[in-house]
Amino acid sequence: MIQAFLVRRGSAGLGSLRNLGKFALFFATSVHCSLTPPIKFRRILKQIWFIGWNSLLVICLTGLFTGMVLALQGYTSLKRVGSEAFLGPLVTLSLVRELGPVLCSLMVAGRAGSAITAEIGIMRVQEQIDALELMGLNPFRYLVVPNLLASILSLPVLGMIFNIVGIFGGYLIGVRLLGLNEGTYFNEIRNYLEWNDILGGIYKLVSFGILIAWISCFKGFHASRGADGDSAATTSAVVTTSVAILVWDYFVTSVVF
Amino acid sequence: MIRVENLCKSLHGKTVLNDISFEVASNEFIAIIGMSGSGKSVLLKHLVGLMQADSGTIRFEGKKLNDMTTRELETLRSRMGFVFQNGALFDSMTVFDNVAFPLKERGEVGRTEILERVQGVLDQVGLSGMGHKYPSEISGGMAKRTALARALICEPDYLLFDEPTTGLDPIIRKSMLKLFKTTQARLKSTGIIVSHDIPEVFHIVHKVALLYQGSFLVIDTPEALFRSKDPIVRQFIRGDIDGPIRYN
Ligand SMILES: Nc1ncnc2c1ncn2[C@@H]1O[C@H](COP(=O)(O)OP(=O)(O)O)[C@@H](O)[C@H]1O
Ligand SMILES: [Mg+2]
Repeated sequence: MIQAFLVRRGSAGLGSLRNLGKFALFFATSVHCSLTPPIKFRRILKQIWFIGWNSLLVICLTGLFTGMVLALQGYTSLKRVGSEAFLGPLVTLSLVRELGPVLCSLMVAGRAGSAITAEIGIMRVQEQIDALELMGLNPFRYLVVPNLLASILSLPVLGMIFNIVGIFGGYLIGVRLLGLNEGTYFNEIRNYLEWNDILGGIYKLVSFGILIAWISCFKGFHASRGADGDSAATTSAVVTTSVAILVWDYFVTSVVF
Repeated sequence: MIRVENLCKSLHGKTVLNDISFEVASNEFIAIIGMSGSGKSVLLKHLVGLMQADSGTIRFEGKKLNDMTTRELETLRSRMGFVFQNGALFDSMTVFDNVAFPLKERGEVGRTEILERVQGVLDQVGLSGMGHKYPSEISGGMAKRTALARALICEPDYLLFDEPTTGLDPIIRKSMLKLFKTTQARLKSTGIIVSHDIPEVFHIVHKVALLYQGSFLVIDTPEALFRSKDPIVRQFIRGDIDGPIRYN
């Protein structure tokens, strides 16, 4: 019985190890194809439109309210220790170093990442990917590379927009609603925000962009052919990407900052 | 020329292909018939390298499929016209773009020639004037014919059709079968067609192979199959309910 248990555990372990290997190989192939011609520029532009532009509204909305709630909570806390003047830096640093990259990426994963998985998954289930291959076209170049590059390019921009809108949201609450001095809010931001904070944020955003494209494409590519293969892949992609973003965020934070 | 030797494949612990050997000479057109789920699609997918055999070899013009480099495989595939059982059209593209896609990606011919050739093939499959529609806007039969047009656009040396006429009405079906015959004769292609159109398909091919329980029960001329005394062959060709083949 113990032996049976061990065998079962062992084969499950081997199975997930194999999946991890497939996952890594998928990334290696994607990177290789991204760095060698031919690159499908029109597909990249299309995906930038899809991932970047189409996420803009939701990014602005979430950014605005994140900044607003940060200001509200921060003001209450800072007031207790008598340092409301530092509301600007509090909002800004929280956004730039942490919440901007993470929340923005989670939103993009939910909106664009899931759609990427669904699209590629349908193509897998309906054998469109096989058809591409039979036409002598590398599906990686056609489907994965455009998403990967578009995601890497879009996320930093989206993240920056999220931050700026968030800082503006903080201004609305801190200055307009709670009566903090406008000059204080922005001057203290200028005093405390460093280039390293911004660079670290961009670094996070780029790596989250890679994670989103990598996991979403991988899940779509390996959608099972059953009736619910595609929807299962989509759900799994969003969950996996979100967890990966938060875990990776911790490691980046502990190393970079 | 396609030569298959001792091909075996199990899927999910079930033997689907069991020691299949056969040969299709160049310029020869054969039909594969057999019950649903007998492995016809799986066999075709092995021939184009979309599925890997557990054992056995597949040769094209003497060269083993498994020994080919990526480049050689790409070249071989570019000489094939493959029709998937479900069509596998790109649903983000119109009918026209689907058909033009292989030509465009190859980048060998100019815009006007692409336009002319696509119009020509669409005419042949009876879809002229439908080029602007998306796959979601056309019927199943039209999707099937679009897939056919896409397979024929590059004038392939190998025709591999997986149930290309299933779901078409009788008139279009007959004209499609005729189109296969003339196309195959004109291009001198080597062809394999999976079909349930008995007896129509018998009139356009040189040989018929019956896939039964993982291997070919017979490969012979259509006339020989008609004359066959084998109870399984007879039941299959006549579509009798009673006989050695049972669904359960
Ligand atoms: N990708 C696959 N994975 C697992 N089993 C498969 C796959 N494709 C086909 N099969 C199984 O192989 C058998 C033959 O299928 P298929 O070749 O599609 O039959 P048909 O002769 O109707 O085309 C079926 O039992 C099917 O369930
Ligand atoms: Mg089939």
